[in-house]
Amino acid sequence: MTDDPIADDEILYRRVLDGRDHYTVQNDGTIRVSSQAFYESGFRPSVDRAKLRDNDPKKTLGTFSGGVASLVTHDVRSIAPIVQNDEKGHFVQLCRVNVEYMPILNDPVEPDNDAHAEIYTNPPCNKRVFRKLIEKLALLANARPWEIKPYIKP
Amino acid sequence: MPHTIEHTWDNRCALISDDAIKGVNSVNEEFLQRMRGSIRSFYNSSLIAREAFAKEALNDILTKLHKLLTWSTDKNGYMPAPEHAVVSYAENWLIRLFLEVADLGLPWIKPNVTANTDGEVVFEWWYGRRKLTIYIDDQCAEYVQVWGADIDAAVSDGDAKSTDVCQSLWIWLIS
Repeated sequence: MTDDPIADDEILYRRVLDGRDHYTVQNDGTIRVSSQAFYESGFRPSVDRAKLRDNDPKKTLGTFSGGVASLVTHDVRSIAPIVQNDEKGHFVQLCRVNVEYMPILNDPVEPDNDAHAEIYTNPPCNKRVFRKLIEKLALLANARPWEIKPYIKP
Repeated sequence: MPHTIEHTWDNRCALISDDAIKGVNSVNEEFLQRMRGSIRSFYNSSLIAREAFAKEALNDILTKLHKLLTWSTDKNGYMPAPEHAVVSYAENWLIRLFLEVADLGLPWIKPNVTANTDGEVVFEWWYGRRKLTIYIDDQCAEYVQVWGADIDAAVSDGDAKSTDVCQSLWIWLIS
């Protein structure tokens, strides 16, 4: 983590790509984001700090096609700690949810992204906890309007 | 799925293989063998018909499922396709669930079908304030169920391999 901590009132952008079935159109025409839009193998979903993208979600979408959903940092931090149990259902640990600033600079694979942040749990969680976390993130994202709505063919 | 078929077939055989055979002569024994063959044949064709019915009803979903195998790099970057074995397991799991729902006389809801970067197939159903997510790899199915539409929603998870659990999940979802 670098300096410049993320304030509770900061908006976080999450790119939701086309072609992955990461959103669905409901009967009333609204578009619902799937929890899978937040799935990442490292269990640390990437987001962009809106204020470092000039509050312009187009800068998060870039040249990709899809939409941009958003979260409020305080809401993410307000997710109740998630219990991690072992295979027998015995308590192992409580995983608290937070967001940290992780700018990407000179990465061999990823392009530079000065706005990059990651949602994570402390202590690091296992897959089962992460699956629960992304359901909560989807609920939070669906409670807010899309920053950029995916284009749906009429 | 195959285990369920074998188990059920054993039950059908048991109907005619115990008390009925006691005291029979060789002619009757031959007759019973033929009868068992006929029942087996009828039962197998009935299973095939049920599976064909499910595949027909799930045609668009299964098409989407198989399309996951073609995932690779597109204009939005790289998205790994799930393995064939995972898609195959997911197909069998979904067909079995569909038939169980039909047997229970409950309504069917089309799932959202996707995959994640860990190569798992993911089915998602929403019904009112309830959501059911199923994660499938090549040998297991696990569920996450969500009650509620806000941050205080209750979330639980578990194994979704057994028939009983799948039935309970569906009843919970649509209740």
